[in-house]
Order: sequence, then C-alpha cells, then structure tokens
Amino acid sequence: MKRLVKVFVLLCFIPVLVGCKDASAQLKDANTTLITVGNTNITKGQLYQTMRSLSGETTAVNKAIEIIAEKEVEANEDLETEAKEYLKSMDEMFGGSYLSLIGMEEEEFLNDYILKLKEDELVKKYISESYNVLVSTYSPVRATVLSFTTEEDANGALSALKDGSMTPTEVVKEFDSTSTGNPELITINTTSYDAEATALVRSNSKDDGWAKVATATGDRFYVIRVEENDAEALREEFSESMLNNSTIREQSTAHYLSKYQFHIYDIDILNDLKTNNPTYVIQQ
Amino acid sequence: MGNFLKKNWFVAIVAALLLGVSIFYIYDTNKGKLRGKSVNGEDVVFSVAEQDVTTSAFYDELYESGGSTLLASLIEKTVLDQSIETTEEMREEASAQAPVIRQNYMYQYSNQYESVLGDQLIQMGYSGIDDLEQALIDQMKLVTLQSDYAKEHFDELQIRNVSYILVQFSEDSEKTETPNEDEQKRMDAVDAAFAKGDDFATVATNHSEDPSTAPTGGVLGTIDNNTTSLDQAFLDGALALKEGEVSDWIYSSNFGFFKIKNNASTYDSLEAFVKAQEASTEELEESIIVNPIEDLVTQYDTTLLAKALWEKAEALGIDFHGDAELEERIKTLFGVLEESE
Repeated sequence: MKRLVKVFVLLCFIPVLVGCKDASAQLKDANTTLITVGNTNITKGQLYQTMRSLSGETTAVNKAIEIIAEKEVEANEDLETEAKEYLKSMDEMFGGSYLSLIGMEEEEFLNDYILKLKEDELVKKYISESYNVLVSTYSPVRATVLSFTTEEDANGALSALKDGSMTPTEVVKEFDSTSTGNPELITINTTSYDAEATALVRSNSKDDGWAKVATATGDRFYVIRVEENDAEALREEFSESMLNNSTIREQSTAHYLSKYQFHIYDIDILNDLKTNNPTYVIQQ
Repeated sequence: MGNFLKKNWFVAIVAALLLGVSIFYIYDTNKGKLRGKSVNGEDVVFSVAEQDVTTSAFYDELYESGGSTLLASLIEKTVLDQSIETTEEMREEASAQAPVIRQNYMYQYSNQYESVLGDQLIQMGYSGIDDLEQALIDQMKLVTLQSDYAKEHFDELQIRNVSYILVQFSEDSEKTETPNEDEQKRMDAVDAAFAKGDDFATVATNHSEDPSTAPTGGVLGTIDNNTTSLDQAFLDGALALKEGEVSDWIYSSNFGFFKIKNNASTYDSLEAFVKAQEASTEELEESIIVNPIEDLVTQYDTTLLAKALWEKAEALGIDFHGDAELEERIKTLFGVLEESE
C-alpha cells in the first residue's frame, strides 16, 4: 500500500518535471573564455548569443544556400575564370593592393567569389526550371515605346516610322520625345509607362507594326511597336532581367530550401525567420 | 500480485488513470514544441541537404561576418562597467532620455522602430531594446572616460581653448597669400581696433566675418592636435601659440585670413577661462559650453575613444589567453596595434 502511495505521488509530479521547452542550440564550449578584462571574462557563449541575436537568421539561410549551391551547381572553369578576371579588375582599380585592402588571401577570395557565382547560377537554374510560370506571371515583351506630350508629335512620329523615312532614334529627336528610341523589355513590373501603353504592348503582336495610343486623360501619347513576344526568343534576355529581381531571388531561395528540407533546431532563429521571411520556413 | 490488486483495486485504477493522464499531458505539452537535435554530442542549429550544421560550425560562420567587431563592443562595455561608476545623475538622465529616443525612432521607423533600435543595440553588445537606458548610461560613461584620458594627456594632446577673427576673401579675390585692397582694408580695421586697446573678444564680435563665432567673442572652443576637421593652416597656427598669445595674420587658402588667440592651454587656466565666459554670458549674444573637455571629446576630437578604452583595458589587465590572432585583430580594431608592437 505504501509503495502504491509512493507511485501515486510520483505520478502526480511527472507532468511538472516533464515541462519541456522549445529547443535552443547551445555551444558545447560556451564557457570558454575568449578575453578577460580585469575581473570579467568574455566567453564564447556570450559572443555567440550576441551574434545569433543579430544575424542568426540571415547567416543560417545564407549558409544553407551555400550548401545547396555546392550540390546543385558544379564547379567549372568558366566560374574560375570569371572570378580571376574580377579579381584582376579590382586589383587594377586599387593599384594592385585590393587583397591586402580587404585582408584576404587570393585563394580565399577566389573560393568566396566562386561561391557567390554558384549562388547566382542557382537562381539562374530556378529561373530556367520555372521559366513558363515566370512568363505567365510577368508577361515579358520586347517593344519600342515612344512617349510624346502632344498628339501632333505622336502622329508625326507614327507617320515617319510607318513610311520608313525615319528610325525610332531619329523620331524621338525630331518630335521632342524624352524616350531613347531603343527597344526594351517590358513586364508587368514596368512602371515607367502609363497603363494604356503597356496594355497595348501586351495585346499587340509583331505583325501589328507601329501603333498609337493615348492615355485616358489625354495628356500623353504613345507610339509603340512589339519587337518580340515569343517566350523562347526572349529567354536569355528575360532570364537575365529576373536574376536581379529580389522577389525572384526570394522565391528561388524558398524553392531550394524546401527541395533540400531546410530544418531549424533553434527556437530563436526559427521565430526570427517566421517573422521576417516566413516563406523560408519549411517545417511545420 | 493478483491478491494485492484485488485488495487495492480502486487505488490501482486511480493510479492507472493518473498514469494515462500524465502520458497524455506529456504528449500534449510537447507536441507543439520545437525538438532539438544533436550530433556527436553537439547541438545542431539547422540541417539542409542531409547535412547538419552544428553550433561550433555556426559560430565560425557568425564570427566571420563581424564577430571581432562585436567582441570589441563587449570589451568596451566591460571596461566601462569596471572603471566608471554609474551615478544617480546618469540614471536619471538616461531615464529622461530613453522615451525621447524611442519617440524619435518611432517617428522615423514607425512600426519597425523596436526592431531597428533593438538591432542597433545588439550590434553595440547589448541584449536588445530593454537595454536602452543602460546604453545611454554607457554613452555618458564613454564621455567621462574620454574626458579623463584627455585630462591625463593634456600636454601631449596640446589641448587649448582658442578664439579667432576671420577676414574672408572678397568676392573677386584671387585668394592668394597677399590680400587684395579690400581684404587689406578690413584686416587693417581689425589691427586698428587692437591698437586702440580693444580686447580680442570685442574685436571679434565687431569685426570677425564668421557669424557662427563672432557673437561669442570669436570663441571656437577647446581643440587639440587631433582636431583635423579644422583648416590645417588654422590648426597649425593655433597649436603654435603659447597661452595668451595672439597670432599674426594667418593665410588660409580655404577661408581668408585668421587672427587666432590661445585663450588657455593648461587645465587650470582652461577651467578658469570657461568660468569667466559663463560669468560674462549676459555680455555676449550666445552662451558657451560649460565643460570644455567634454566639448573637446564630443565635438573636436573623437579619436580619443579607442585610445582611452585601450589604455583603461590595459590598466585593468586584458588577457587574450594565448590567442595571438584574436589579439592582433582586436588591437587593429582599437587602432593600437603599432603602438603595442
């Protein structure tokens, strides 16, 4: 009976004893003293906590992408050549002392730079694999868009372009346009033109030639020509433009973190990630 | 066992029920918790592509992107804690300043202000926004530390309080060392005022063409030989003067022609000069900074901080426990590497 009572009492305490906390990854040698000043030790653990608070989340994601890039992108001579050429150009800019200025050895610098190039290759790979989706989302078209403030100028430009008497770069000078006259890639992110112009660019084809449209308020007139709207023909140009698009880079990061099952075992880093970059949180 | 259970069946049922509840409780408590992972006795921070990144590897990654700078901040805090006492005045001042700082950040960063301010404090070696008042106290301690350093190295730094009169280049001036007719005329007016017996402050107020200092009798403030923000010709001229001396006209290719006075270049005379300035404030259009050394370290010589911290750290005793690379890095950050080698 007494034994039963003891067991009974013990069972009452189990829930209290087993109150688990979220995991927090701790340094094994946290108590190692790095520096002692007077009567105070600055420990590795103290420094680790501070660094983790400041940049734990960013460092974790960057390191994860570094690991993924090593897996997905093979090292090749082109990357090495590009890295060496970059170093050479920086050295020329800084009178041959670039490496000492940044406090790095050549091998270390080249390895770091090649890694950055690999990370870019990773984004390129993502763009390539998601190309059709990106085309549907961003609707890229290469077009020449000329902007005029008067309908008279727009009509004069349109006429000259249609009869071939002038080129677009000549027309913009002749008819007081601030446009360059050069073709450019237009996507749904393009905000330099009014909606009427971009709508016409998306609805027209190469066969439609030069066309004119006015804004609803009548204060601006556009003369446009679609140069290319075939997705495959635009692949290189569009892909290059997406490489520096921050949304695409974030999507690429989220895609690869998911593919390679990025999992965090530290509650502070996980919470920071949930707050700042929830798409990078793969685990439930 | 069977007889035992038969006799105490009720207690056995309750115990079984309690065990079941405990097991359920443990499961329910833990199901939402983040589980940790260890590899070879080390905690794992994250895993990806079947690779585990342990805390030691993660520490190295973090350290590479600014660890030594953070360490320098921690050294700074440690030195301050041990060498400058926190006074009630500092606490009150910090308590008054903290809400103002928060408000300013709120104005600039809106909803993000806590995160931004918190991150900046973490970068300084604090735990976050809750340490704001402590950070403000430490800022006051830093001024005290630098002021003490400046006092101890007074002569070496050539600390002095100076005033000046400026005659600017005229609009059509060729800006050479030889003043043109108009410039010479204005310089002669200054010299005539001195010849008449007017003191420097009066002449400066009446004739100096620098509107920022003319109202205060031409008083610039307390400078030293690190005040490189000043025009070099001006600084060289000011440092060459003995206490009480007034220079000849000094040519500055940037501004025109200066007459400079060394008001005080010992600690005692500096204090006396500033007190005298305070007493005569009503005679001048604007008031003067009360503490000349604090004026120096906060405005004109901001290079003393690293030196002052390092000197204090050495006085307390700083030990890198045999890590020569760390020692070199920290000394480089404090700008004392060459001095110690």
